This record gives sequence, structure tokens and C-alpha cells, in this order.
Amino acid sequence: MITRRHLLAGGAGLLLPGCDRLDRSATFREGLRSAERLTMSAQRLITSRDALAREYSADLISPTFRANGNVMPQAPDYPRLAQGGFADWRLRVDGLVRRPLSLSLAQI
Amino acid sequence: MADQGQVEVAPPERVRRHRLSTRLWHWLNVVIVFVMLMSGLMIFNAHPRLYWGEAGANFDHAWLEIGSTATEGYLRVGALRVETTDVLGRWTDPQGVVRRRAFPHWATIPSSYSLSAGRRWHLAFAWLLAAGLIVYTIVSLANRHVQRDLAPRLAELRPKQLWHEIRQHARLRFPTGEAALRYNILQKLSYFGIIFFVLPILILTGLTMSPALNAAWPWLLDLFSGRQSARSIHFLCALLLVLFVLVHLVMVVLAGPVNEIRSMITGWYRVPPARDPAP
Repeated sequence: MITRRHLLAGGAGLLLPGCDRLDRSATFREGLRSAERLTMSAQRLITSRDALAREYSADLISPTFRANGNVMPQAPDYPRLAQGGFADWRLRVDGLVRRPLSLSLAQI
Repeated sequence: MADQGQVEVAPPERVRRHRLSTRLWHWLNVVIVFVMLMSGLMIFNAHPRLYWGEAGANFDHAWLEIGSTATEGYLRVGALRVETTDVLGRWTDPQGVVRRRAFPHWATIPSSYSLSAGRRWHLAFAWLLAAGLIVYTIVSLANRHVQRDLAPRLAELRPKQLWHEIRQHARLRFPTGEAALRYNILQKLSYFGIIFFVLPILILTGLTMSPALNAAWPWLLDLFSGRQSARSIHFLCALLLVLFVLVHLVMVVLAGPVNEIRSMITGWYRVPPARDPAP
């Protein structure tokens, strides 16, 4: 239900402090969230199940590749492994598999 | 009689100038465009660099960037670098803290950094912008507003005509009398350009920045030559929109803001009396 307060808040939204206040209002945030659901539904509507991201050739890889996130994790093993060029690192494939594997970077 | 001039039939004092659909769309857009521009600047603040082509990130060459050093803020376009301390790149927030973000607190929604909130506002209001544009276009084609009032006529597009209009506007000699009841060619080109080019391209380039849409509609990537080109075009069109708004506001003020704004609210417009023909 839209009350007079909501309408007034909407009018005040023309000003920047009003926008910040709206951003903190639970009702308004719910409204924005419902728009997000609309976007999601609309995307699902027009995207076929087998639509794939476009692929690019290897020569388009940036010369200095930017990692998105942490480039030096603080896990105990990481700096040591990184120093050795990850020669000692293994990719373990185990669990509910018929043939457990332990692969090195070279093997991959 | 000494004066044998023609009797001029004066146009009515007040006329119905703007349709309801135009007025509604106009004021909705005041709010929507305001939110789109300012939430867009918040999103830009997350990565204040623009590239061309398929991809671009921090270590690739940016054709535009807004950044900061330890002492100053700057805007760089190509090889041209301009110091913008206190406005762009490096500014002080209302609490007195120095911030090294591209656009300052008074230009973004929300005013303090939040990429997620900026995106929520931007993508929510984008629905309102797109829906409004589509409905308005359909209604305005149906009631012939586009064909009769907005579409430029061939005669108006002749270079001499155009140049005459530009000069008149530069001298602040706005149309009066009968001519004030129509959009002049500069208005037509602006409105037509915004409605049928700038806004649709903003929407399409916006869609091109969605990974899901890249998979669903890869033709968007071809249309704009890649995500980063689409992003650059998106910002260039946003800049055009900002310039349009600024010129529009100046023109409204110069043409008589009370009359103009009132006519955009009520629809009724007081016709400026025809002035004597210019020598």
C-alpha cells in the first residue's frame, strides 16, 4: 500500500539526500529487489538452455592478465608453492569417482 | 490611409501546447534520467576506465580514465591529461575524508560507494526508462506526434535554414507568434535524436554489458564490436544525454521558464506575441 509518507519520500527522492534515505528504506529496497527478479525472469525468458558465452582466440588474451580478486592468498601452502612455480602442486580428483587422480600442472 | 499593411490575425493568447502523453513522459523522465545518470556514475566509479574492443582491464590501454595520485585527481582522454582535484578523481566527502574515487558524492546514487546499490538502482530504473520509451513511441506514432511535430521536414534541413536557426538561437531570438507553436528544427533534431538514437543506443549498449545477454543475444557484441566498445559507447551516449539536459535547461530558462514549465505541466501555453520582422 502506498501511503502519503511513501509519496512524500518519493518526491523527496528528487534530491540526493532523499535518494540515500530511500536506499535505506526497507520498502524501497524490496521494490528494487523485485525489479531484480523481473530482470532475472526476463533474461531466462530469452536465453535458450544451450546458449553459451562467446569464445575468443588465444591471441586476444591480454599480455598482462588481471586476476579478479586475491593474487596472493594467505593460505600457508600458497606462497611456498608459488615460489616453486607450482611444480609441487597437485590437483586431486577423489571422492565418488571410479579412478581417483592426482595431476600435476604439467599433466594438466 | 497611410498604412496599407495586411491586417495580421493575432494567434490565440493561450493554446494547448503539449499533449498529456508528452507531459507525463517528460516528468517521469526527469526522475528516471536523474537516477540513471547518477547511479550510472556510481557503477563507473567501480572501474573508472574505458576501453575499446572486446576486453579491457587495469593493465590494458584505456582511452579514458579518471584517476588520482597521492596529491591530485585527474581526467585523461587519450594523451590529454587535465587536473581535476576536488571535482573528479580526488575529493573530500561531507565528513571531511579525502576520497580517491572518480565521481564525487554529490554526483552519485548512492552518495557513498556501493557498486551493488548503484547497480540495483540502475537496473531497476532501466525498466522504467525502457518501458516508458516504448510506450511513448507507440502512443506518439499513433497520435501522430512523431510524424507531425517531431520529424524534421526536408525544407528545414537545408544548410542555409539550419544555419539561420543556429544564428537566431545564438542571438537569443526565439520564435514568436505562430512559429512558437511548433518545434523549430534544432528542437526537432535534438528531441528526435535523443528519443530515436541516444536512448535506444543507451539501452542496447547497456544490455550488451550483461553476460547473460552476451550468451542469449551475441549479435549485440557484433553490433558494438565487443563489450568494452559497448561500454565506451554507453558512456559517450550518457554524455550526450547530459549535454542535452544542460542545453534544454538553459533554453527553458531563456525562453521564459514560468510559461514553459507551466505548459509542460498543464498543457496550456501563453503564446509570445509576434515581434516585428527582423531587418
